[in-house]
Parts: sequence; C-alpha cells; structure tokens
Amino acid sequence: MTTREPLHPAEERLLDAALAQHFAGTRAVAPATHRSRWLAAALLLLGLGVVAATMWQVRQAPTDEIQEPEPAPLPPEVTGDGKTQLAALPPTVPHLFAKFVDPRDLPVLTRFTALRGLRLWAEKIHVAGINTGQYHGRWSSPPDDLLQPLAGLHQLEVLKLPRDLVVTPAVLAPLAGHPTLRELQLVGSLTRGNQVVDAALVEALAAIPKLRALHLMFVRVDGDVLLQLAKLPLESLELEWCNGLDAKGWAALLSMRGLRRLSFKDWDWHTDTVAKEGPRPWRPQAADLRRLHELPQLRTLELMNCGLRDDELAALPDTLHALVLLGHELSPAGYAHLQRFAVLRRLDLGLRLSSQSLFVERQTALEQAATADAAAAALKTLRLRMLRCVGELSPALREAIAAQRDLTELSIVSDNLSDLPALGALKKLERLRLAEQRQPGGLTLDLLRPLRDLPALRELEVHAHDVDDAAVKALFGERVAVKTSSWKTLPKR
Amino acid sequence: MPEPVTPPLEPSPAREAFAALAARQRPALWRYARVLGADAATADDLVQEAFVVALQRPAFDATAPGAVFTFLRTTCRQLWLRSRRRTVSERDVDAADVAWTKHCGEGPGDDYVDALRDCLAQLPARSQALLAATYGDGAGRIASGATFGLGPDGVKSALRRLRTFLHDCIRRRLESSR
Repeated sequence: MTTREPLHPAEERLLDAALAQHFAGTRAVAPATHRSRWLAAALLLLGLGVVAATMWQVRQAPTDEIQEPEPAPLPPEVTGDGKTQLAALPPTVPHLFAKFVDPRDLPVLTRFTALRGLRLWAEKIHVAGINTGQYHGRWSSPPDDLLQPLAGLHQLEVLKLPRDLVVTPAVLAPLAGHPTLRELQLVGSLTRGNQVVDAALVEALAAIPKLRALHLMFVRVDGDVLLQLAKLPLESLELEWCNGLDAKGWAALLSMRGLRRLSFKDWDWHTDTVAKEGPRPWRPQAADLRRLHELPQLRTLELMNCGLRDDELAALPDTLHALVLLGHELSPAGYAHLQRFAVLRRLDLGLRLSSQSLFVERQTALEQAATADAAAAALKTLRLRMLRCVGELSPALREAIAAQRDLTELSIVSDNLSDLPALGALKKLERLRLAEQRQPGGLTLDLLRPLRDLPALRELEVHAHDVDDAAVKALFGERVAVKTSSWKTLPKR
Repeated sequence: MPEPVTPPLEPSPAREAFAALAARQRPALWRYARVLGADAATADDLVQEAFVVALQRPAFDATAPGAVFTFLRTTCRQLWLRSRRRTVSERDVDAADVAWTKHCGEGPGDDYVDALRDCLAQLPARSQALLAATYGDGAGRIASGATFGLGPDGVKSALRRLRTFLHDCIRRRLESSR
C-alpha cells in the first residue's frame, strides 16, 4: 500500500464497535485463584438456597382447595398525556395509560380512586416543541416517595412501571401493604443493567401482600435473581426479552410451586454479543422442560421465539390448559405431540419455523402444506375454545379449524386469506380476527359475507390489503364491533 | 409523541418474525448506532427502541428480503437524529451512514465482522491480549498496560498501530472478497 485514505471518525467507530462486540465477555488474564474452593462453596450455598426456597414455597402453598375467582379483565386503556389532560379525565376511569414528563406530577393520579389498571409512561422533555431526547432526571434517580400517590388507589390491581424509572426497594416501599395490587411490570435495559432484581427488591415486592404476577422485560434473570424471585408467592411469571437464564435459575423456577402461568419471549435476549461463534447461551433441554411437571398448578405455558423442538414439545406437561407456540422449530412429525394435550383449551400455534427469517428462504409450498396438514391432524384430536393460527393454511387445516365447534375465539394470520375456512358451524364463536401478511391479499368483502350468519359473533377484526372499513361495518351492523386496518392505511415511515 | 417502548402484550406476526431476527440483527444494528456516534448505552437504547418501533407495526412484512435491516437502520438513524437534533448535524450522520455503506454495504456487515475476526487471528497473542484487555471486560486500558509492561503512552501507541493494521487488513480482505 503506497497511500492510505484518511479515515472518517465513523470508520474508527465502526472498528471500535466491532472490537467491543468481538471481545465482549472476555477478561484480561487474572491471577490464579482458589476457584475449586469457591466453586464448592457456591455449590453448597446454591444447594442450601434451593432447599430453603423450596421449603419456603411449601410453606406458602395454599391448603385451601377453593381457588380465588379469576380477576375480571380490564377494560380498554384511556390515555392521559400529561398533568393537564389527566386532570380533565373523569375520576371513575378504571384503566389508564398515564404519560408524564416530570414524575413529580404523579399526585394528579390520586383522584382516580376507581383505577384498576395503570400504565405509567415517561415522556422525553420537549423545549419549545423540540424533543430534547432527555428524560427528567427524577426517573433515573427517583425520590423514595415517587409512588406514594398510588398507595391510596385501593382498587389498583395492575401496575406497569416505565422503562426509564429505576425501581429500587425504596421506590416500592409506598406500595407495601397495598390491598389489591396483584400484577407488576418492571422494564429495564440489559446493557445499562439499570433495573436490578436482588434480595432487597424482592423483599420490597414481598411486602405487597396480593402480588401474584410479575412481568419482567429487558431484565437480567440469572440464577441468583430467580432464586430471589422464588421467595414470592407468584402465580404468573412473564420473562420477556430477558437474558441470563441458566440451570441454577431453572431449578429455582421449578421451586415456584404456585405458578399457574409461565411465559417466555426468547430464552435469552442478546444485546451486544456476536452470536455467530462462541458458546451458545444456556437454554432448557427436553429433560429440563420435562421437569415443568413439578409445577403442580401450571396451566398456561407461553413459549415465543424459544425454538422449541420435537422432543421438547413431547416433554411438556400434558396438563396444560393453554399453550402458546410461536417461533418454534417443530418438524411436521413433531406436531403429533400436540395430541397429548387432552385438556388444552387455548392454542396459539405458529406454523413457521423460528429460524426462518430474511436471510433464510421460506419453506417451499410442499413443506408448508406438510406442516399445515400435520397441524390439522393434531387439531382434530383437540377440543379448543381459543385458537390462534399463524401461517399458511392447507385444505385439511381449514377443515380442522372449521370442525372446532367449541371455539369462542379464533385468529387466523396468513399470507393470503382468499380461501377462508367454512366457519358456519362455529355457533359459539364470539371473537374473530383475520389478518393477511402479504400484499396484494385475497380477503374480500364477499368472503366476509357468510360470517354475518355466525350467531354469537360480537367482535371482528380484519387486517387485509385493501379493506373498506365502512363497508365491513355496514355488512355486520350494530351487532358486531368491527375493527379494520389495511396496508393502505398504515402510516408511512 | 414518541413510540411507546412497551409493545402491546398480544404477539403479532410481525413481532414473531422480528423476534426471530433479533439475535441475528441486533449486534449489527448496535454497530450501526455506534457508527452514527452513539455511546454504548445510547446505542443499546437506540437498538431497543428501533426494534420496538418495528415490532409495533403490526403489518410490516418481515419476509421481504433486505427489508428488515433497512427498516431498522433507517429507524435507528431517525431516532438518533431526533434525539440529538441540537448537537448532531444531519451532514455528520449522512457521512457516518456513507462510512457504514462503504464497509458493510446495505446489509448488516457480516463480512466486515468476519474480516475482523480473520485479521485478529493473524495478530500475535500478546497483541490479541492487549486488545482483549482494552475492549473486553478487563481492568481497563491503563491497568492492562501495566500488565503488559506498558505505560499509558505505550498502550496508546500500541493500540494505534494495531488499529492501523486492522483497518488495512479488513480493507484488503473485503476488497479481495468482492
């Protein structure tokens, strides 16, 4: 090389970024330590921890056979953007999406005494209409009494906290003893690690006596975290785009004997590593999944983008009432394992493989048909009340869907819906969602016309290439609440 | 009004497809955000927000070849510009975008990463260790310099030479593969 072009700073940054990713997780050579002794001590502590957590859970296990009634579903959210808008809303609003720039405005919420659900949202600061890109500093360094205004909302059941709020034990302290709060969502940032779930935070959560459901998003949930969470009497645990799950954490999770619902979106959400090489992150294998039998109350299992394989589906407990399988790696033969789930009443089934993506060719038409036929064969052995099917339908699958006479809810998402199942026999169907993913689609008003005769239908949602909202509403009249969207009405980017 | 960060709870087909792509595309998008000038934590936020923007578009066709990364890249760029309207000029962002295209094309730049990996493999173990100590989770540049018997200036000088080598090596590899 004779001359070298001067490098743009962006090119330096590209090299920096690639190097940072390449060396992520590496450490400089450290002096040798007495690792074996530490390891033995850690294993001993782990064993003691698991035993203690198990004993604690056994102590917490309900002895009353009578289950509490399922909580009534929340009505749709009402949005209040800022203190002024919120102050203008009626105080009887039961479900609120409340946006704040300054968290010191939260006291405006005290008037919503009928509130059952609250989603808090941190807005960025705008100056003269210009978005500064900054959040108010009190979200990241919240005062201890930040949530005090919520302590008096004695009907509040569900609370979703904003991502930019760093939730500490002190922040949760005002919710201690809250009489109705049963569900809490915490959202973190994996790289910044700003949301830490540790013993102190779990102690603060434990002080909320009715708390039974925890939804963690973008939070690291390794073995230590799950060991802590196992101390809570949780019935529902949702881990959405979290990472750090390991064998120790899985063991702790299996000690949560009261769990009725377990939901995963991705076993391990990568943030900054080049995943092409190097050790794969831990994920439960068939033998681990088989141990879900140890959760006696587990009825709902949601596995989204978890790449579930045939032998792993075969290992799941057959006592499930609801199963979500979206983004899996099942072969057509693997669908036969669905036949084991005799008491399944809700199934969300994706027919496409999780490995299919932009850079991997889709299945051939022949493969799609084989998959759909395999799903059809499995469906024929099930008696479902709710079905969501995502993928390409075959004639056999259309027939199998149409034969699910107990369905009250049905959702079909496919490339093209020019050939709908004959749904006339679904006399109990109350809610129907039809969505096309490709354009031009094939769903027309004429295809929807026979659905008018479904006697129980109350809600219809249609997403198609070109759908006339007024025409669909006119077709179904007042009896059915119609919601439509189309490719043409999507906002341009 | 910014896009809500918390996606709707019900999974949509678009979210399903995007979730499948995430492990593959997230690192590339993070590199792109860094190229634009974001620091590591901000890049993480940008990536997270770009994915959420995409995930919240229920009918986005995640199956069209090349569309997803292009969409994410554009979204990331817009989010960066919006968040740094007063401190970053559009011209600088355009220049950074051109730099990305120069080395990574329109895609996620896997070839660049592969070339870097090959080039690193050519380095002597001591150089690799210095880079690992600098860019990994080690004790930091100055402390790692002490480990290698180098003062702060020595580390700086060694890193400058290593970076020059890597730039040239990557460029040669990319040119030979095109």
